[in-house]
Amino acid sequence: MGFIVKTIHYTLTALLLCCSLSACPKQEGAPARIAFHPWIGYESLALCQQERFIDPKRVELVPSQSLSHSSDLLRNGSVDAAALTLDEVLKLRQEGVQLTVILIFDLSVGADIALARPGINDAAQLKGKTIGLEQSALGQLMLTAILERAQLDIDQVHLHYCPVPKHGQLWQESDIDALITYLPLPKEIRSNAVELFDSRQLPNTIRDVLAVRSDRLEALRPAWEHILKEHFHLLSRLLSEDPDTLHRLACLLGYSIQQTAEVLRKISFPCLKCNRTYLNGTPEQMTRLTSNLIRIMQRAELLSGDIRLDGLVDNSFLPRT
Amino acid sequence: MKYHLLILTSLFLFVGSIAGAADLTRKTIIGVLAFQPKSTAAQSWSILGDYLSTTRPELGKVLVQPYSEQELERAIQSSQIDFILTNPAQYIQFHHHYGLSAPLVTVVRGSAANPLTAFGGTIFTLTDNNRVNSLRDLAAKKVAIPFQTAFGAAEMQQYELLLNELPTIRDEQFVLTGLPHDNMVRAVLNGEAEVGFARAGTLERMAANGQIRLSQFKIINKQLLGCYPAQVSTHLYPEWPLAALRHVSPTEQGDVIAALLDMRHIPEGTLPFGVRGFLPPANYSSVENMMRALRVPPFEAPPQLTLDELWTQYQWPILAIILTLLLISTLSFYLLISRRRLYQAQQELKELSEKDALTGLYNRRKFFSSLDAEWVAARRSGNRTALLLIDIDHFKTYNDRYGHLEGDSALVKVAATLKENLLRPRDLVARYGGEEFIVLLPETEQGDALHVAQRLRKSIEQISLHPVMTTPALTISIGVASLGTDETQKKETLIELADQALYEAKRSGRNCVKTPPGTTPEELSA
Repeated sequence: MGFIVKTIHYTLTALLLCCSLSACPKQEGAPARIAFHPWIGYESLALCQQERFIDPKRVELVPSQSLSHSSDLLRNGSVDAAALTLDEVLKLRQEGVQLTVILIFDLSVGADIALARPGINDAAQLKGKTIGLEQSALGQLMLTAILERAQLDIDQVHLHYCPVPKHGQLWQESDIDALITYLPLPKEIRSNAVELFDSRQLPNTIRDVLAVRSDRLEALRPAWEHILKEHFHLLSRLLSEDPDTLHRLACLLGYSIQQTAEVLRKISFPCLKCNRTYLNGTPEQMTRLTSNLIRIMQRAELLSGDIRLDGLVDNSFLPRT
Repeated sequence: MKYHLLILTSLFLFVGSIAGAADLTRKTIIGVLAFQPKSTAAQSWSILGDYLSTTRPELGKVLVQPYSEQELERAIQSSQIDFILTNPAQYIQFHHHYGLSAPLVTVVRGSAANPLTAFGGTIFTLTDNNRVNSLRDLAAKKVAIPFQTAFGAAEMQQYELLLNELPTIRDEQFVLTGLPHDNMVRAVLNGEAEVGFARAGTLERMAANGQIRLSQFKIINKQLLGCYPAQVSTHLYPEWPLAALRHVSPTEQGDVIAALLDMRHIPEGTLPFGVRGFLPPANYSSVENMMRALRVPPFEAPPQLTLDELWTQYQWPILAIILTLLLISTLSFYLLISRRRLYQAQQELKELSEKDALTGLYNRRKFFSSLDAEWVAARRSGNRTALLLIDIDHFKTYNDRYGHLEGDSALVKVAATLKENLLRPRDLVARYGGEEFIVLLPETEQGDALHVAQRLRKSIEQISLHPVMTTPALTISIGVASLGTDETQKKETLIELADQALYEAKRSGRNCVKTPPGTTPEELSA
């Protein structure tokens, strides 16, 4: 009799515990804040929000104006994570902002380009010429790669820094000979430019990632798992040129449909399996992920000699299936 | 020789010219779903047919013929057409039923500056209708649609409700207007329905034609689609596909694809519904997903889930159900056990309250309740009831001589012997007092009762008692009484009579059977 009473007691307790656990919110406290600036590779976040895939109790998206603005928000701790380029992540880690990459949004396979005035058909012809570019790690990275290919030193070219949104005007009004920029090209550039170089020639180098402050990684685990799951939920639409997604992206970015489709074709979205491999943290994958990038960044003096890569990636937040 | 060469050359040229010229005996028919009067549609589409006939003479005379939905299906069934141009949902349905080809090309509408390869649906109501402001407000409202399977004017909107986790519009809410899409707008304007579903662009087109003012309507669930030139309430889906029927050869399909992808020679604005050309086929998976979610043909059957999938998808609810069932079965088991124990305890209590602890015979209480019951039964049947009141002779002496334990043992033996010698199931013997027993014999005449009494008396004489006892130490005296049960008789009288008879037996020297004084024993044999 006593045994039966005890069994019932334990069963009831277990049941009550299960009920209370399932009734509990998955995450206590404020939602995880993720900064992202307008770039097609990051717009899966905004699309997830439009489709109401994101639970506002878990994740809050914080729109920023630019890559450097997102970096500032991470530095001062007002966001927990940000959509950044991998080179920016390495730069911030060197500054002492410990970040961990939990997702590779996309790889540039032609979306970052170097254009030149008609008549300049080879990078070597840039010697003594003026190159327009944005003053960012990405701009420096592309510049270094082009100069490396042309076997030129940095002091053999003149640089004209200008933010990307003004590149159309710069191309029309200034006497620059070449321009390092990214798609979509403003209409001022389209007709009279020669494509010298694009990011397909820098394989596995320019990646857009979701970087989380390492100290908030575990505390906000449910939020990271949630946002990654929803990113992959939406990914098939980006890959299939779904017309609805194209229109929504165009609206978000202020591009035309054709521009949006063109940029989408020039970036690649790694699937879940690829992400799991890229971010598994093995020495082989870490080399594949970072070696080319670090070499070019060091050459561009964006990074010092000693780079610590421990805790740079973590694939445990990716959905299991 | 020269003459022969000339003939041969002329022959090749002739054959060549035949091959290149249009095959006038051949016809290629493209069936188009029409949503305007067929005569108007046929006229507009003839431009496309003429273009194909001219640019691809090998297709023969190309006819683009408008059909209603049912006509189109019949035309496919009887292979009356070669190609079909219809909306994506209908294409998927026909593809599943009749094995059409994969989409060959997709329609492009819009303008050169803003080509459109997708379309959506609109949900609209009158601007001054304050009752409808969001999708949630559509519940229980009358909604104008052309027909229930309309892709852009019913299914898209229903799916949007599903995506927003809201109930879909019920059949009784629909006001069916038929095509064209202008009918739904008119139904809302004249109050037949509060809300209208139409293909996106309908309101803009009617406004451009001066039929309505856009300010008269408000759009529900307006989507942020930037450069899309119409107000849209749903997701966008790829434009109409063109597909071939199964009998069309790959070469013929290739000819049509090539001609349709190169439509530079058709002036813009000449084809109906704003069609301005064709592009390589779009991905129609979003349409299929929508149809599966809405369970519209051919996806009416619910998806088959394996146990693994069920577990992955509903892990927590399944666990909760198992736990609940476990709890219920544990509680039921506990209840069963408890009930059983309670029943046993009740039975034990009943036994205790009815039986004599020493002899195991019934006690006085049980005797009286049985007498009550038998008395009532006897009254109903009119039979007599007999009582035997039994006393062990000189039992006090026996006790004094052999001790109380031996006395108890003798009582037990007497009780057992009495019980053994009562043959009928309804006969009942009870311990009446210290060494007194009482026997109830239902439906028994006095003579029969005397027989029973004698049998009992004799059987007691036969009891083997303690080995030191020399003479039969135990005998019993029995008073027998029997009464009819008419209205005047009482059961207490019966007991009294039996008591008197017992007294008589004791007075007569014990170890005998007596009836009450004044009554004649019907039969009494020693």
